Amino acid sequence: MPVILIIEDDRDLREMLRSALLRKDYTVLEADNGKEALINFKPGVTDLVVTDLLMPEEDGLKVIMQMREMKPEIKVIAISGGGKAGPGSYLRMAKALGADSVFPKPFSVNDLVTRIDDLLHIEQ
Amino acid sequence: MNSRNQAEIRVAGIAHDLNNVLTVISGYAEMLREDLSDNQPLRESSEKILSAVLRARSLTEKLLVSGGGGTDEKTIVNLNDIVAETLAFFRPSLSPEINIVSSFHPLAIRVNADPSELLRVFMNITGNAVRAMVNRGGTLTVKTFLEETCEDADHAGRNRERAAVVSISDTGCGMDQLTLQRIFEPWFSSRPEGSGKGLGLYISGEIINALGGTINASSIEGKGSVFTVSLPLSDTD
Repeated sequence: MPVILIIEDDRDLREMLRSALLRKDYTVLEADNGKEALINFKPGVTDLVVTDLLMPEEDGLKVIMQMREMKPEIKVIAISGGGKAGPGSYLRMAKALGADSVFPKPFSVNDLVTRIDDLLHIEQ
Repeated sequence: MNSRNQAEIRVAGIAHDLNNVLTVISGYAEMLREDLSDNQPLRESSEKILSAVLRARSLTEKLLVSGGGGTDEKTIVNLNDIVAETLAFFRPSLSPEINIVSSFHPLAIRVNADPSELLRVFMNITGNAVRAMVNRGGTLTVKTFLEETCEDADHAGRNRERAAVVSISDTGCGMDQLTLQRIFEPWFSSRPEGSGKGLGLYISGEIINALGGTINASSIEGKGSVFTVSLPLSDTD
């Protein structure tokens, strides 16, 4: 099954996403911030990245740009709970930087998994 | 940073954390619902958790609105007010060597925008202008005015279109032409390593472009820079 990297600094949220993806038999890798994700990123292994945008160390916008440079075909989904101007402006930036999909928190995990299936052409 | 700004950041931080918690709750509730058949009583309980999450989500949105943090909704904004708020933010912290000269269009300039996003744009540009004059002093000149934009307008003014314009200029250190060409690129910063992320002008450009406007810069090294933001007037004007 494809490999999905979750980058999220909220541990509870990261664990929830891992549970939902493991139920669909995806292989899941995790990082709790952008810097750790970039250091450990393996372009040959990872098929799709789900990344938070506002994180300590490197934020999600930089992660998207750098991962796209290392692996242009990688699929990226950005998730955000917002900042001073609400989640919309950050998610718009993520979209402008090449994220395939964006999800403002709180989102339906079923919708997220369905989108991951679509991006990876997985039959439900 | 003024107290209103601090309050906005605190509220946005709480809303951000609440949205994370709500995503966790709704995610597990969805998995629970999936595992339960239609006739099991706990399935109805999982449905109730999900509807409560929806209600809580609308509360975090209200929290952002009441805290001034804004949502994605546009509204009619008087550009003069946003620019005045920007200057009011910087004025108390400016050194005596930096003068502010401002001139505002005498009437309200109405544009359709998210006020918090516009504030962010002018804070970015003004912050850069102030930094360019640190240790050397100078003048920050801020103007709001209307400008004809339609080249096809005839002498009687038919087909005439006007744009709202904000011009922010400084007499600071200026930029060389190579720097000027790259200032709207993401992650580009002319500031020392670690003191700026290089996203401010990029995000400002994206915000203004999304509103159907333009943002332009000119600069002479050693003399200063001029940033001009042009926005379509709202239909009510």
